[in-house]
Amino acid sequence: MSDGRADILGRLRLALGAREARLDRREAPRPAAVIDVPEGRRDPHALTARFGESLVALSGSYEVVRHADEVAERAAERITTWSAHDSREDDGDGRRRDPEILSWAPDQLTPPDLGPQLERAGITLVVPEELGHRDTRLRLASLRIGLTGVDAAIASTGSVLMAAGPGRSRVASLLPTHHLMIVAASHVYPTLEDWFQELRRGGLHAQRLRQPGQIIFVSGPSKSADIELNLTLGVHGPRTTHAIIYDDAER
Amino acid sequence: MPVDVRAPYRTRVRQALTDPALRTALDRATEHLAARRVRAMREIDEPRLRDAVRSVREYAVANLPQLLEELERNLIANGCQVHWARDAAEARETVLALAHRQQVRRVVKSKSMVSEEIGLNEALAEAGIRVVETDLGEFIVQLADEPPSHILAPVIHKRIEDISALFEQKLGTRPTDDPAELCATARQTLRNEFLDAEMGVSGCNFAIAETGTICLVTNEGNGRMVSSLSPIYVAIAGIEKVVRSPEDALLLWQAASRSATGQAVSVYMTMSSGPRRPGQADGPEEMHVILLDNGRTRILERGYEEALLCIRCGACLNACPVYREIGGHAYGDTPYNGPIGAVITPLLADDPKRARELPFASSLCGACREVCPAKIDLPKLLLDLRSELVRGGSSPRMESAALRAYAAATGHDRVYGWAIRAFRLFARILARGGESIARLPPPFNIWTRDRDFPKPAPRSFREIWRHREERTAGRGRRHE
Repeated sequence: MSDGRADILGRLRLALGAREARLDRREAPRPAAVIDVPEGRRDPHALTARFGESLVALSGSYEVVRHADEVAERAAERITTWSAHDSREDDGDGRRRDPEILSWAPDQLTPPDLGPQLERAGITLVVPEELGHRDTRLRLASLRIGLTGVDAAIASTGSVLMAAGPGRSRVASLLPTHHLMIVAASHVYPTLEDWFQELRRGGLHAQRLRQPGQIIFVSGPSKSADIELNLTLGVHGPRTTHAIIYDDAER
Repeated sequence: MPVDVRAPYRTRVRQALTDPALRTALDRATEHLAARRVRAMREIDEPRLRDAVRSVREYAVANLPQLLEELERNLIANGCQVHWARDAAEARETVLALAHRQQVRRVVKSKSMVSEEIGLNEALAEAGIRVVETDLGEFIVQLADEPPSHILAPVIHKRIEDISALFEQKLGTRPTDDPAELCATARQTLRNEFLDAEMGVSGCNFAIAETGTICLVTNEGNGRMVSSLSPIYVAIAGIEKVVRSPEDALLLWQAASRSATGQAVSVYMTMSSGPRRPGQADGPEEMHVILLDNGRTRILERGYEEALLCIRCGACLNACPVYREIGGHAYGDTPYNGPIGAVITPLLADDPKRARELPFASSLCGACREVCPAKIDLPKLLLDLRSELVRGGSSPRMESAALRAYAAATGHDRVYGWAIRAFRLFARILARGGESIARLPPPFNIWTRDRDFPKPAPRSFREIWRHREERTAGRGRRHE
């Protein structure tokens, strides 16, 4: 397709060069951040609170735990609650079954022993190896609960960032009805701009943005207002998103 | 009666104006979205944001060739394949060739104006390939075999009852007035399509040159689905979608979200740079990016580059008094409607005669310019287009004759004076002692078909002014 390429680029150069194109070629100035988070509100405690509030405003939910040890217990509780609720809806009996969840690999979850602890609580973590076979895909799609960590969280928008990677499947946060996210407090940034600025300063932006193949910002449950402007949740992505934020005291 | 997008302009407009359901739906939706935009902009420094958006977009379009080369270089380095398409036919051929090579029988698409622009669905269907629209609104219009009526809200023209009846007919579901139930039906139906499709096709909201990244902005999650679940992922990007850096993309994402629906950010922002990496469980085996011209260089060549700054937020639609009355279908068989559509549809079209009414479908009130995050001067672009069309002989003969007569009358002081006196006499006769004129004689009767014409004042402005001048001269002073 080099003809097309040469044609298009040639025409563009001619059009932009021929007359004084009335556009500004200079580097664009931009505000530090679209959403202002003032100095006094940038400590981890304030950021955690703001992230939680933002998420709730988006129809998500959250809880904060003081110590990393509490995460597994809270996660297990949340998973069994969801599972029981879904059973009741499906079969009407609310009988306790051992939940199976679509999950990141245990070595990708934090705190490090979350995976084993959940397994001990009777919860099976299903970690996809590949999606090539139809049966695999259907099986994975039947799992109603997804568990992931996050690479970052953005307080001012209630967003979480997840980069694809080995053991960090995309489907875990995409296919299930319920998405449980484990967020380390040290990973909460005030704004999107703050997050990226840290990457750029550290020269990590290429690696973190390009290398994974795909990174995704998720802000609350999947939504649509297409039907007469009524807000419906869980159109394609999860209907429920819940964050467990724990203090990892790294900063 | 529903609007037939292929009917002539006047017919389409009449159909829209005489459809009470459409007008109610349009009213509600545009009012709702416009109010949300205002609220969201009040939370931040809107002028500063708009200046920044303008700068980022101007820089991108002004440096388009270099940025496109950089984008291509980085996409290829990331493992993507890049294709250049001069027009719709080349773009369609590229997708068909990719599908053919991999024996693709099923395609899932996330919402993409550009794919409609090139007529992709029809081409795929003709080749015997099943295409499913996955954006909820697009899924609905696809079932109904209609084009979408709003850049952001494709089924703004349908009520719940309409959608329920449609699902009942096409999917065999029971009637309901619960949007959640309708949504669940769509979710389940589309879920199966996502899992079985061999190819996912999307448009592109922003293409980051610096990192070779295709950004998709969605609220539903279908952008994630089409770019992650199928073995082949194809993104079609208009060449004007390129931005320099991730910082620029993050800025435009937030600006577009606030302008469009009043959200700080959309629910999903999918940033795809390449295919599945070794060791990853999911992701496409192949990622293709089609860089599409299809008239965009022509827009630059003709001097309408400002129109390329658009970030497709749809704010101008919700602000436009014309759009709010007639809706998107009245603009014809084009995915781009509303004020921005009135500019780019005629420009992107090969045939200058096509869509020639659109630049005139505006009162030039400027509401669109006030809300545009990129500060595009849409009224100016509309006027420039009108001017071109008139000079090209596109305006009705009667109108041209009338305007020439007007120019003649107002060009000479004496002639103007006689014309005013004659008109005033004529109008007073027509008013028949009343306060207004209910019917002017042809050809002016089209004016009074829908409104009265006012009776002239007792004295004309010229008379008052002349009298005033004589009085002050008489008193020997210049001013009172």
